[in-house]
This record gives sequence, C-alpha cells and structure tokens, in this order.
Amino acid sequence: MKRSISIILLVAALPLVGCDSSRAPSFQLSEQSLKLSNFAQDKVQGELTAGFGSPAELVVWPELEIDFGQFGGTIGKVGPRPGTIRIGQTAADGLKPQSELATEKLLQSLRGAAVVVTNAQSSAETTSEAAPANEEATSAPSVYRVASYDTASRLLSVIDESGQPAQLNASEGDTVQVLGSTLQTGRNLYLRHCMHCHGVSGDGAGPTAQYFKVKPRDYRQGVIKFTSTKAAVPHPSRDDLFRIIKLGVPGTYMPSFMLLPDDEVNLIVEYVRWLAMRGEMERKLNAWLSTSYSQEAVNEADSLSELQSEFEAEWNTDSAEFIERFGNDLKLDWQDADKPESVVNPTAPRTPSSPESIARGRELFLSKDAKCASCHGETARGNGPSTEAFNDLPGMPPGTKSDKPGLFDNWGNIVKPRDLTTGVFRGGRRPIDIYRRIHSGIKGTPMQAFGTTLKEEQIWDVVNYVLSIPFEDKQSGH
Amino acid sequence: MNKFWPIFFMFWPILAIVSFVIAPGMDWWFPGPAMSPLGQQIDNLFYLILVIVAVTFVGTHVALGYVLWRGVDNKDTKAWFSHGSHNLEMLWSIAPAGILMFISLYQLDVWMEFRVKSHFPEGTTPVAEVTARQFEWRIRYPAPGKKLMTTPQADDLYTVNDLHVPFGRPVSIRLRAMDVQHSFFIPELRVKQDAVPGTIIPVWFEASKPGEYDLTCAELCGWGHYKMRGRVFAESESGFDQYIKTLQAEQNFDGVTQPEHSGAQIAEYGIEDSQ
Repeated sequence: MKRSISIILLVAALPLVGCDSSRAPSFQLSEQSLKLSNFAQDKVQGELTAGFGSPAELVVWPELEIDFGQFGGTIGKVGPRPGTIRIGQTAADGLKPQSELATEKLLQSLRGAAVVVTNAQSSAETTSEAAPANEEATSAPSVYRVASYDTASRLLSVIDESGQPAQLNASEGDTVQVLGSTLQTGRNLYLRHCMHCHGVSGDGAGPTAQYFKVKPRDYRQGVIKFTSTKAAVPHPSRDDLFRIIKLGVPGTYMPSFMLLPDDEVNLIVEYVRWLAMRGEMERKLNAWLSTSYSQEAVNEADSLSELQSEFEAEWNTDSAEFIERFGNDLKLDWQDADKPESVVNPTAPRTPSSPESIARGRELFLSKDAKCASCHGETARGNGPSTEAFNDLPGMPPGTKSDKPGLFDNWGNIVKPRDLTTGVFRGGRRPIDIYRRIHSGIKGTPMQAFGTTLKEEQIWDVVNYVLSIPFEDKQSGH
Repeated sequence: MNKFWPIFFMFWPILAIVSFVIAPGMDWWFPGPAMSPLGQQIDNLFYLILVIVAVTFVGTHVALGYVLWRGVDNKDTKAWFSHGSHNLEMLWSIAPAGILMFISLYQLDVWMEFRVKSHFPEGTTPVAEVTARQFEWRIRYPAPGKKLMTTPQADDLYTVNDLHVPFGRPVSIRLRAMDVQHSFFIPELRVKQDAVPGTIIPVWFEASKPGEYDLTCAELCGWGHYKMRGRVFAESESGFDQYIKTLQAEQNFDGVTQPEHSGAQIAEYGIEDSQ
C-alpha cells in the first residue's frame, strides 16, 4: 500500500516538472540584424536594450510617442520590512483608472517597473547611473525596481539591480513615482492574449503562428494593413488598432477580443505601438549599417580589425546623432497617425446605391484607370492576370522582380487579391471602410491607393459595386 | 483496527453527500438560477434525477456499511454464498428499468419543446444567424423590419461575439459552424446545442429577465477554444430595436452622413438590372 501511495504522489507531481523557468520571454534580433557583422549586431542589440529594454525590464524612453503611464505620490511611511514603502493617500492622484476592475487587476504585476524616489530635502547622498537627468530637482533621484505593489494597502516593495530588497534612501514625505505602469500592464496583457501568435518581439512568429496559412502580422515595420489613415501616413492610428483588436479580422485567424474591457484593449494598443517602434528602430539601424558592415562585408574585407575600427570610429562620431534623428522620426511619424487630418474622410456622402451607380462602379472596376480587374479579376474572384505574373517586390527598389509568380506583400508572403464574391471584408464592411481601402490602398500590399486617380464620387461608385458583388446574379454570364 | 475497512468505505459516500449538501452555499452549484422558463423545467428534471439517485446511493451505502460493520465482529459464522435468486434478479432488473422508463417518458415534453421544431413555443421568431468559427461567434441580423433569410442579404447587419435578443418572449437563432464543430452554450439559460458545419440548426430560448449572460463554446474546437467567449444581452423590445437601429447606422456609416438609401435599397432594386 505504501508503494501505491508513492506512485500516486509521483504522478501528482508530474505537472510540476513541466514548468521551465529558464524560458523567460526575450526580444529576438530580426533576420536583417542577424545578417550584420557581429560587432555591428552587438551595437544594435545594445542600442535596442538601452532604448527599449527587455520584456522583463521595459525601458521608458520619454521621447517616444507612447503613453508609458506613471503613478505615485508622497511616501507615507518607509518600512515595515526592508525595501518597502507605503505610498500616502495622494497616491491615486497619478492613476488614470477607467474602470475599477481593470486597475485592480492590472496593477498586480508591476514587477520590474522603475521606481524613482526624489528626496524632499536637498541631502542627496546616492546617485544612480540609470537616473534620468533632471536639472530642476534639488537632488538626484534614486532609482529602484518594483517587486510588488498592493493596491489596497498601497504597499510598494522595491528591489535593487541585484534583485535584493533595496536599501532605501528615502524618508517620509519624499516623492515616489512608478514609471511605465501602462506599458507594463500592456505587456502583461499582450503576453497573455497576443504573444502566442504575434510573438514576444511582435515578429508574427509566435508558437501558434506556424499552423496558420494567413500569417499573423509582423509589427516590426510599423505597418498594419487595414487603417483609416491616408496613403502617405505609414502608421495606423490608435483607433485603428483598437477596432482591429475589438472586432477581429474576419477571414483570418485574428479573433475578436470584444469581451476585453476597453481600457485593457487600449493598453494592448499602446504596447503594440511600442513593439512596432522598437522594430522600426531596429530597421533604421539596419538600413544605416547594412551597406558597410554586414556579414558579407566582413567576408569580403581585407582586414577584419581595420573594418571594425572603421566601424567603431563611425559609430562613435555618428551614432548619437543618428539615433536621435531616428527617434525623432518615429515620434513625428506616429504622431501623424493620430492626427485628425490624417484620417481619410470623404467630403461627399456615399452615393446612394442604385443600379446606375453600381453600373458605373463596375465600369471603373474593369477600366484601365482603376484596373481593379487586373488583380481581382473580371468576375472579382481574386484571380486577375497579375496573380500569375512575375511582379515587382514591394518595399524593394523598382524593377526587383519576384522569382515566383504572384503578388507579394512587404513581409514576403504571397497575397491573394480578395475574392469579393464571398462577402467577407477583412478590413470591415462599412461603406467607409471600403472607401478607405480604395482611397489609401492596403498598406504593405500591392493594393495601391486610388485617392488621387479617382474622384470621390467614382470611389463611391466602386464601393457600391463592391458591396453588390456578393449578391450579383450568378447566371448573368460574366 | 478491525473497523478500518468499514470506516474507509463509508468515509467516501459521506464525503460525497457532505459535498453535495454544502455545494450550493459554496457556489459550486449551477451558474446561477435558471434564467428561462424552459431552463427552470430542465433544472426540475435535474433535481428529480438527483433525488432518485441520492435515495438509491444512500440506501445502498447504508446497507453496505451495515453489512461491513456487522461482518467485522462476526468471527463465528462463515460467509454464506448465494448463486442467484430468481425473485431478487427480477426485482433489481425491473425496478431500475421502471425508473429509467419513467424518467425517459417524463422528460419527453421538455425534450420536444427544446429540440423539435414543430413543438417550439408559438411565436418563436428567428432574430439572428450565429456562425461559430475558430474562435469567435459571428452574428448576422436582418435589417429592422425584415425577416431573417437563410442566405445573406445586402442589408443584413453583422457583429461579432455580441448577441442581443429581446427578453420575455421566445426567440430563436440559426446556428451554423464555419470550420469545425462548436457548441453554443448559454449556461444561465440552460441552452446548449452543438454547431455542426454544413447544417443550420434552429435553437430557441427565452430570457425571463433582462441582463447580460455568458455565451461560451462547449465543444473543444481547437487551441483557442478557451477564448471563444461571447455575451448575450437580453433587452426590452424597444432596447433591442434601438440596438438594431444603432447597428444599422454604424454599418452604413460613410464618414459623412447617414445615407438616406441604406444597403436595403440594393436588394429592392434587384441587381440584375445593373447588367
């Protein structure tokens, strides 16, 4: 009987063995970065870690167009245990809760977020390298990391760089700020709901992605297909991302997250934008370094050390300026996406759908001006002649042809023009959605923008035709 | 020590009964009271079966315990072995068969009302088509004032994971599956029906109170089964009409105004005219 009990215990213990704590999520370098020489790779990695951190320790880079989130207040009491602070009653002032439920739940795992303590008196004894420069402060603030935070008792436990309870240089009345709370909670939600398809780095290569025929979006180009923004605006607005998460993308594996509370979706949106910016920063660094310092350049170089010292010299003189410029570009580009004037909004209301309008739309669909049929096919089944041709690769110098027939998107996948007879519209089925698809195209795909070639009324005619296609009389002979 | 086995074997049925008795208080029971008239009848059937089973269970275990307890101290008499008693066998064949027959006949009304279309309550109107797909519920309503058609219409309204129905009267949905087998489950209304690709299954229910009810998938349909959740809003007639109108306005939004001519017009004009 003893033996049978020990067997039962062993079997019961089996699930515990499955947990492997060594597989903490980490950001991976992109395929392009891996083509760089080792020394350039190190710099890229270092720069990304400095600007963005790791999934476990996110870095707040205030220059970015991101709501990193912060809360705090004055210290009510230091202690009782080493490394703990009780935040005073004003603590909630910095919080922007949209619903009690979400805030309570989300603030539970702030582990790793930065804690900045600014002494009220000007008796600064310790300074930290990681402390942000703040010239106005009378003393240099001390920086720690959150171990845990209890919303009910406002008890904040902080740790130092080594993970031990911090030796606090703080006293009652000092100011304490927890930075990056929004991003941190966004990350928690992302890892839970999104990561298994979209990947830790937002590369669209999470564990479940391999089973999909339609690949999850790789955010690292900052490009999302279905946006409300104009063709010249490369990025999606926050609202676009919100809609996609809430409504899903019909016809793909992206499900609807309708039941997630709005504020949780907003946090995920912010984290996805941040991941996209991280990916773009990596691409910008690559674009700068890949011509001279790729793995290939190393193979062709006469002397490795010469190339490396050349690189070091260039890096030391230019990197600060370049990175500042890249960061600034990111900021401006993403700011653009959220400006009201970036959204495609027609001035003329939709032409009421009528046989005449539909006929005009069909005419345009088949015409040389709009040339919809060249990809979507004359019967709109997504089988136009372009799908069989060798086409220019998008995102490459003009004239770079694909080695396989078909239409390619920016991510290197073959894309099929939509079969418009099915009545499934990935980017939404409202007239305005289809108007925007035609006006500014589908970003990252060969679906181009017709906002300049077609007039508003013409686009509305095409919209009316497209919306009528699923209900066409199938016997009419075309 | 002789009493170890009687105690061991009696411990488990007692634990089971104690668990059952404290379960409702511990919230281990049903997901709330039944929120539909038919759900109440289904609960009643459940309780009837529970009582039958409980009486049988307690009876047999008291008998077993009694026999074990007595047997431990009985060192003198050798156990008596019986190889069959015709009367006893007749008894324990006919009694359970009778009970099963009773249950199967007694529940027929509820079963027919729930599953057989010709026995659906009078006035049951189809409000929406619900299509299950990995891993969401895609919902199609007819335009205000229209009937739900089997095939999509130009003025149909679409939404996802959010089923609105009027409360206080029987409504039905047409249940479909786009990819694999799913199961449409509203625990609080006691409604569960598999969704099978290639078939359209009518499912009726009646929410007796307004409110928000969970809609879950009750058939393991793939890796994302756990996230296949929706919600059912039971609303007043006017609230439901208002919702459909809002949905229609949203669906026809053109970025400028609400068009006077909605998608409904496309169907009315007839598309073949445009050829």
